Amino acid sequence: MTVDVRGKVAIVGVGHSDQGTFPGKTAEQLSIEAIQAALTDAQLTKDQLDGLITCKSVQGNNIDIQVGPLFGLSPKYAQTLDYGTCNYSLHLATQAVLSGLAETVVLVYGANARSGKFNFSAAAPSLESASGFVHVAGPAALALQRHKALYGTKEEDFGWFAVSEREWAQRNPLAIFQEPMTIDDYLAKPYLVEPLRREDVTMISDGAVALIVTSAERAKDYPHKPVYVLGIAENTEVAGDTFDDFLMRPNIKGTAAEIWRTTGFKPSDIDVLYIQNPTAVWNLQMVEAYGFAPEGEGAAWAAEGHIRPGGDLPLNTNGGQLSESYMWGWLHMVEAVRQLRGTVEPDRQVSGAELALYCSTMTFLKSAASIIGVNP
Amino acid sequence: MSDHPNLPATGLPLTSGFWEASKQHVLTAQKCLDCGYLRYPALEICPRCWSTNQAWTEISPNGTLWSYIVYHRALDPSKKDEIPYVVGRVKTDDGPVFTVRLDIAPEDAKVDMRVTATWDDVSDEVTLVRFAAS
Repeated sequence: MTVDVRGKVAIVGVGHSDQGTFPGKTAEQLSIEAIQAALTDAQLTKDQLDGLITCKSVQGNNIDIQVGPLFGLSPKYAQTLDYGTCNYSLHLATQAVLSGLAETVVLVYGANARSGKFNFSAAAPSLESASGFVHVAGPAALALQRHKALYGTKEEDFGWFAVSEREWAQRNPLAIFQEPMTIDDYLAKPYLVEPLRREDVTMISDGAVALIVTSAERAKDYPHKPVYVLGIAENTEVAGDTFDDFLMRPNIKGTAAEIWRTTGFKPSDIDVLYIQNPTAVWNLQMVEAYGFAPEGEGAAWAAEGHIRPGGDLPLNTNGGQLSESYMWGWLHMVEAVRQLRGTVEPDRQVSGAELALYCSTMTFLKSAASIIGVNP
Repeated sequence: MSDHPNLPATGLPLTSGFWEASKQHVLTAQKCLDCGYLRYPALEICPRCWSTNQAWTEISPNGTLWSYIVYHRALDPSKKDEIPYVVGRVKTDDGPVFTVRLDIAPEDAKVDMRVTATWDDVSDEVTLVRFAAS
């Protein structure tokens, strides 16, 4: 039996902590700050929540039974996802509301990875790590180099993903990286892991983000225009690195096909696009996999300006993870909701935005998508 | 050893055969003795037929460079004296894929070039496979 999720569940509250470096604050404490902000946004009190879905932090804490004692209440439904990216968390919340496990659920991600000096390059000693193959920039750069060889992708085109996010970040007071960066500035930056530059890779930060989700019927009683979940899709490659093109992440095409098939929407229907992006390679792979750009032409397409302020498909209008903050994609969803409500700063607001697609991945192993919009 | 911290353990039952062969400069992969599937890295069982019968088996040291990258920053601080260094993802002719150091200068590396295993004896216990132009 297939349940059509369209328009049955809505996001009614969003909130977040400050973003940056907050020594002395735990991930769970930051999570409560974000929950408090989301409750204020939704004009709710915590006792009106009957569901709590936490997302493990990059360091492995922030699970439901660690957040619970600070939350101070025990909702009937509590869960933790190891890798929420907000998409998986939203999908689980949608299922919880549709099944009646909970009526009003808060989802939250919190981390203090920056002040906690989390080692992004840490790995159990192996042939690969002993060879110096560490950090997500490694496999991402391998995929980009292959893309360059197969399709003639140019760095002066690929750089537009990072440059465009910076242009958006300059319009977002929350963004950590706001100094201007032209494509020439980008090309003058040194490589981190060639062909990737530092500007193509996220910088970890402390902070937390929360969303409140409830049924469409209840959503009408909230102060903000409800933002409805219109479609959800996932696909995996959990069997891992067993084939040649694993790093090109073909599993994303499965999620893309499913989100378009199950919703009936097509790429040209999307007003604002969000891509969770620890590296800019994720932008490149996803604009192609979801059909916004032809295969192999994602970078050249980005260089045409579609994704910049004023373009016809604004991408990561918050500044993304390259320029706003590293919140595992959670702030992308907050930004999408605010854009659809029409409540972001005027110089950042995409006029008439009604439909947003948020795409995320769990490294090379899983992919997920949600379409949200103002019309159920 | 001080030049090579964080070396992998070579005495674990699942992987000791690989490291022993590497010391002899022989490239191996784990072979399922029931269905013949060759795999790397090591797994406790065959992912195709779930057999537990397996042995480290010599494979071709030749392969094709799927892609390569150059580390310009020491993201692993213990490698700070080695940057810039080149890492490649190599598809061996028998199938298994290795992502290891290349003995190829960045300007000489090319996607899809032919490569052959070379060996770096970094300690009495640990020899790391690398690849160089064939």
